[in-house]
Amino acid sequence: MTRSPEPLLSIEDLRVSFAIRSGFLRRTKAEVRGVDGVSFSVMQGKTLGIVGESGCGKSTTARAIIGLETPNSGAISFAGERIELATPKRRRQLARHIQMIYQDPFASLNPRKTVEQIIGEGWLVHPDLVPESERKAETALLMRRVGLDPALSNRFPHQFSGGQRQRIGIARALALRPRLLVCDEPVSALDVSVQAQTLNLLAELQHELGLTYVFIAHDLSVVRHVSDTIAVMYLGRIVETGPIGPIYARPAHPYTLALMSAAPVSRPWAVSRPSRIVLKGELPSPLAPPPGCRFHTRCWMARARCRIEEPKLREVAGRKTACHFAEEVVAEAAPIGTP
Amino acid sequence: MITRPADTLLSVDSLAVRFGGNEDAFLAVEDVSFDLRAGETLSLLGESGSGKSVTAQAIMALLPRNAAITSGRIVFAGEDLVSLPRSRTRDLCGTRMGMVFQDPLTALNPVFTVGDQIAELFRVRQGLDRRAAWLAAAEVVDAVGIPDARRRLDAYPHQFSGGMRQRLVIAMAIALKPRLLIADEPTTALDVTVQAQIMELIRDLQRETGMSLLLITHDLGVVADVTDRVAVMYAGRIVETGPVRDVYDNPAHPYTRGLMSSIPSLEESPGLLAAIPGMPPNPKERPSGCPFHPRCAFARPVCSVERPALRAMGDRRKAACHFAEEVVRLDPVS
Repeated sequence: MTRSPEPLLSIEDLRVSFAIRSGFLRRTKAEVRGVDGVSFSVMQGKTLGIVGESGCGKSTTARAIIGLETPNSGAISFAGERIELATPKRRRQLARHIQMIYQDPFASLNPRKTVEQIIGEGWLVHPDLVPESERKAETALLMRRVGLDPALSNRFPHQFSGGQRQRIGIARALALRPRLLVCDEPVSALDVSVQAQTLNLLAELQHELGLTYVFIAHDLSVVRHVSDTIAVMYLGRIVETGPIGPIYARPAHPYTLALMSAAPVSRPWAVSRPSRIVLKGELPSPLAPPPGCRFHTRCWMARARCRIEEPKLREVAGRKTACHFAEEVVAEAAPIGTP
Repeated sequence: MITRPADTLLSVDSLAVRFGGNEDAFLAVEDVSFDLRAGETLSLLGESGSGKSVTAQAIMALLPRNAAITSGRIVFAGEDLVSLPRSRTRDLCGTRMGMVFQDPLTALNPVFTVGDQIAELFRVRQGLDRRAAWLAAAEVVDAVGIPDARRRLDAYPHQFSGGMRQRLVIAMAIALKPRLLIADEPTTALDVTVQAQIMELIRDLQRETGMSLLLITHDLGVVADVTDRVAVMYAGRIVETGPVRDVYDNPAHPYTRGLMSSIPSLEESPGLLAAIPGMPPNPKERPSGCPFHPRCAFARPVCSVERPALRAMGDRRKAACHFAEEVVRLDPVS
């Protein structure tokens, strides 16, 4: 596998907002900034994990990457090419390389189509990819590749379990021979034992096909397992990003620290980590994000400056963090690891 | 007959629950037995289809219409719930047992204010007048950590966030000071930081009121966080039970061991996960012998023939595996 020094995917200052309309004329009454100035990049063959709670903008970011949302501004570059500036025809060509795996294996498969039809759907849009005469064989190959029996290709989605359906979704994504997979909570609807099988499958595919992943999840242990780099999002912004090792060992943003300390782990007695921080209050409405640092309303370290001045992402201890007092957080946080 | 400690609050004995009619009937729960003492916490841990929620529904007399208890006893505070008339069970469920469900939105009535719904409990169950019931509602809403409780009583469920709604459901469950709280996946629908708040609330309430807690969950981490004991369920049966820490560190059943090693940790864990192969069996076609044997790395010929009984392993542990002594002696899960 050749590895280009350039990132496969790079996002620059992405902004996506939604209009809130109401009243007789459906006038725009307000604007929610779902994603508000997000930048990151992913190298070929690597995995970027995106974590954050509901409403943080992680799924909107994913949808913008695959073209399901139109950004208000910002650049999305795939293999050096600006996707959002491309002509519709070129966009379609590029779209083949970027496929998505969805959270809900029940809602994301058409119940009226057989597995064979579902997997082959993309070839209707990109007919040159696999000649018609070879599609049956290719479908069988894909099914075997994701651990499904090709003899079941004429069955319908409801005849499969959740884990098998997720495999069908993965086979459908692979059918277009993509280079980038955007996985939006791909295992959170699955049982523990099936979750491990699916994570292993994704890891094997990445290794064999040199795939690049953007992996969105709320489970910090899962993200740690699959990712090389991570971006922690809060209210539409990235608050901390960088290589997985330093961030998990010693978070530099209070929000990351709170997430790490509260994440349920199977054997809490076997891991040393900062004592649990239970955040006060709830996520503020994205309609009216707090001034200054967006996290200050829930932050136990917040000081006067945090209410006025919004912290910028800056280099701290081997990662980028948007906190005025990141040095203090790193210094104080007990490292996470085996005691 | 086994003698039980005097402070046993809930005792489930050889419970079996059947679903469906004659032709396609199957047992969702088989031979499930456990005890819960006053003030104690127990988790029923299992994947979908393991029978954990059906067990909880059987205790609360909330089984769906096509399900029935076919054998066993459920003794709560000295009364056998299975033989009681349904009206009496419902009575007990409202007052002495509280239940928290996974989805707080479906557990609340969207067309009544929160205050109406909670005050109704006090009026119907305790005969309080409107004013007193409203004050009692404000008190319990305050106790579950909803700020500005008195004013918030006039709001409707949709005006609360997911975490606040779950607090309201908890408020309703504990309003009449039950002796047992059954929580079925109480935090599954919530974000991590809110999850931590809700678990802390449940723990605090339990400490303050001394009620017992039966937690139904698929999340190994939540179990370790909240409860003293765990009962691991697979294919409708309890396959292992004991103190959480003993069970997690040195599982005696290969299924428990498989679960423990298949989840990634917060630390670096290179390579593939040690996943359990295959899928949980369809309840209508459970394998012969030990139901776990087709997926089990330790299975031997006897396992496909003879079903292992849940048997004692030392003082406080039980496991249903022919080779439990071998499994428990394996290197600890890391």
